[in-house]
Amino acid sequence: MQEFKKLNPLLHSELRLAVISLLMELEEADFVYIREMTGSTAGNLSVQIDKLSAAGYIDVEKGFSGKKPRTTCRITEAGRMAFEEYVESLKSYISR
Amino acid sequence: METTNLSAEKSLQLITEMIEKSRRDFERNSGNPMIIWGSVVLVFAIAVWFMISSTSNMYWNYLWFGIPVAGYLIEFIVHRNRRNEKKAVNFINSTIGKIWIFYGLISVLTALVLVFSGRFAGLITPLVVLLLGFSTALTGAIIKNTAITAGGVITAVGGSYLYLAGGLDASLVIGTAAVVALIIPGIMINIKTHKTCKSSRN
Repeated sequence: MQEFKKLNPLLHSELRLAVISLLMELEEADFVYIREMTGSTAGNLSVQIDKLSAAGYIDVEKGFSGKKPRTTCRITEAGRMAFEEYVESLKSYISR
Repeated sequence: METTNLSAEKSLQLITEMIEKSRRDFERNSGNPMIIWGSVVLVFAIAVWFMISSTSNMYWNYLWFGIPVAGYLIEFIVHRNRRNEKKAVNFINSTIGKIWIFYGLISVLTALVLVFSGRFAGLITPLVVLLLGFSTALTGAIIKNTAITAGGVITAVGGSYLYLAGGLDASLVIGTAAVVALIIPGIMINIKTHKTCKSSRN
């Protein structure tokens, strides 16, 4: 009998998975871009980005564009590996 | 979007949706830089042709060096006006951007070396057109657009050949190359992506 692989709880959440999926496609993205693409609220997104950053899955850089603050996110190697493992684990659920 | 847990199917659906959404967003108006640069080259080609035809003074050829100045100035203004917009960089756009930066850099440096060496100045036009066609063909290959790739190859081979063998005016060759290798592909990309975005919204 095929065993279910454990899904990474940090990624198995709608908004965090959406953020990581987006960043897998990109070299970098700013906070506004991610918010628009995911359709989330700024407050909720901010909390989830902090969680992903604390886990070492994304790098968050705070800077300025002109006089306006800009937060830029990039996926890390650990984030890439975690995402790939997550997709592999998902396959064990789907293939049953 | 919430932070709720997901079923396996919903997770895969979400991953696919996010990747497709991001790709569509990047494709929208991605032909604009090619249209801007192509138009700048075309305007300078017409200006050089007109000035040399009416004055017979070949020093008007130095106007060509105004292309990068005008092009980067327009790009700077466009980016300054958009600096408050959302921003993201994907691998395809980043690669295409680098191809065109190197095209501009190599073209200008080659032209400068050939002009100031006092020899081979006649090679500037075929080399610049060859590089232009090559860069367009690479861009077409990266975005998987056969028509743009073909336009690039035709420009590279045809443009250089027409200038060297056909003895055509340099301004005419470069102006035509700008239309075939930059403006038409740029418009094609925009039309295609507008259709894609429109059908994905329906």
